[in-house]
Amino acid sequence: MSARKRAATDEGRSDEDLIQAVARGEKAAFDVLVQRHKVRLYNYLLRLLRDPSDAEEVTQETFVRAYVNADKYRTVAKFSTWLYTIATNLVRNRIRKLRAAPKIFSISWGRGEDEEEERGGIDLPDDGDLPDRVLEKGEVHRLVAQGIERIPSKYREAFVLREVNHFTYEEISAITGLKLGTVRSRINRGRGHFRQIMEPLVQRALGDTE
Amino acid sequence: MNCRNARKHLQERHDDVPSSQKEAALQEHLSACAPCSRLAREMDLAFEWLRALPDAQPTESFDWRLRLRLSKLDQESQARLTLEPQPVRRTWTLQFAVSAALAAGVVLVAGLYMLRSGPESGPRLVKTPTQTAPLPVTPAQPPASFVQSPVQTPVQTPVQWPRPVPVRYGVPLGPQHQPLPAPSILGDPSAREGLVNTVPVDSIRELQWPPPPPAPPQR
Repeated sequence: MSARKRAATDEGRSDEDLIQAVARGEKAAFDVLVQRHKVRLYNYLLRLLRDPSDAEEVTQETFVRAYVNADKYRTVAKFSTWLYTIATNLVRNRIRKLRAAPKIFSISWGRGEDEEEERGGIDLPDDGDLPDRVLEKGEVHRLVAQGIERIPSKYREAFVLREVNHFTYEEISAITGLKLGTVRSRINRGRGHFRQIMEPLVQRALGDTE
Repeated sequence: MNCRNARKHLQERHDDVPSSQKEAALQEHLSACAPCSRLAREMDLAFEWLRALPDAQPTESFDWRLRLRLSKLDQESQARLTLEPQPVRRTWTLQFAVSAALAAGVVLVAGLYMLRSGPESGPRLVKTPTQTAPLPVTPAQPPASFVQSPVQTPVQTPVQWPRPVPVRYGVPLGPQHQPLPAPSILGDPSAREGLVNTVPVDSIRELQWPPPPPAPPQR
């Protein structure tokens, strides 16, 4: 079978079939899994870590771990749940290490990690000179991303998994290792934080439109 | 529905699990309550923006860097597989080395023992085969000129029972001795002198226990 044909058949297979194929030695099947999941996983990690290079590094590490431990995957869970569990554990370890490290090494983390409980609003652009200025789409995206990052990390994990990556409550429970009730509560608290953070921007946008 | 319940349901609405009954009650409240209605619009807009948030893309080098890492891992695992038979050889070598060291140790200890025990030990070791040769069944007869020395057997003294009472310092204990005389005699130094050492030491040593029966009184 030619490489192109094989790739075409691989693309039609489920994640679970592909990772089992990787465990049997079909290394090419792993490329398909990477292409399927790398962007969503990277975005999840970016929302948690807030640094693109850190997020990319952890994404790579997650895929490497999945590749090495492909034979340990069991079909009781979805592949995506398994993959995000690996990623979440890596993020937690990383944050724990950075918090234990001296402050001088965590300058980039200072942005909000310590003061995130303050639940400050997002940095709105100064529109003193342009009172009738309508927010541009790119700017809104930047501010929304900034708003997600301002959610306390305790709630952000479950919030991002639910609102950005669209996992079910049960899957989030499996990924985070939290009870279903805790997951539900954290998602709701995260939503509350997000709404509060976005309030000034939303009010301005609504004021612009009304 | 009050404002508190309305705000709670506004958040739950984002879970895609709205019950028609609750939704109807919420809409009814929102149409009547301006603050809750504004909050609902704000939340709707904020979550609309969240859903519209475009995915950030990893750098272009992401794929080839990952492939590079995975291929390195593959190479390492291949190398490990090719190196796997080596431990068997290593165990053989190890076993050989251990047995050789043991043998060398035995030889060394034997050599040291021979050196320490001096030159006499050498011939004795050499003579060992002749010494261990089987002895003849019938012992050789001694020559006629052979004079056999008398066999000295140890003399066994007869055991006395009951055993004699040990006598020391010339003061035997036994009923054959008369009790000490009355204090009147003790008061007399000459009489006392007479009482001391009245029995010669040699005779005391010969005394035995139990004492012989007393002689019949002479009339």
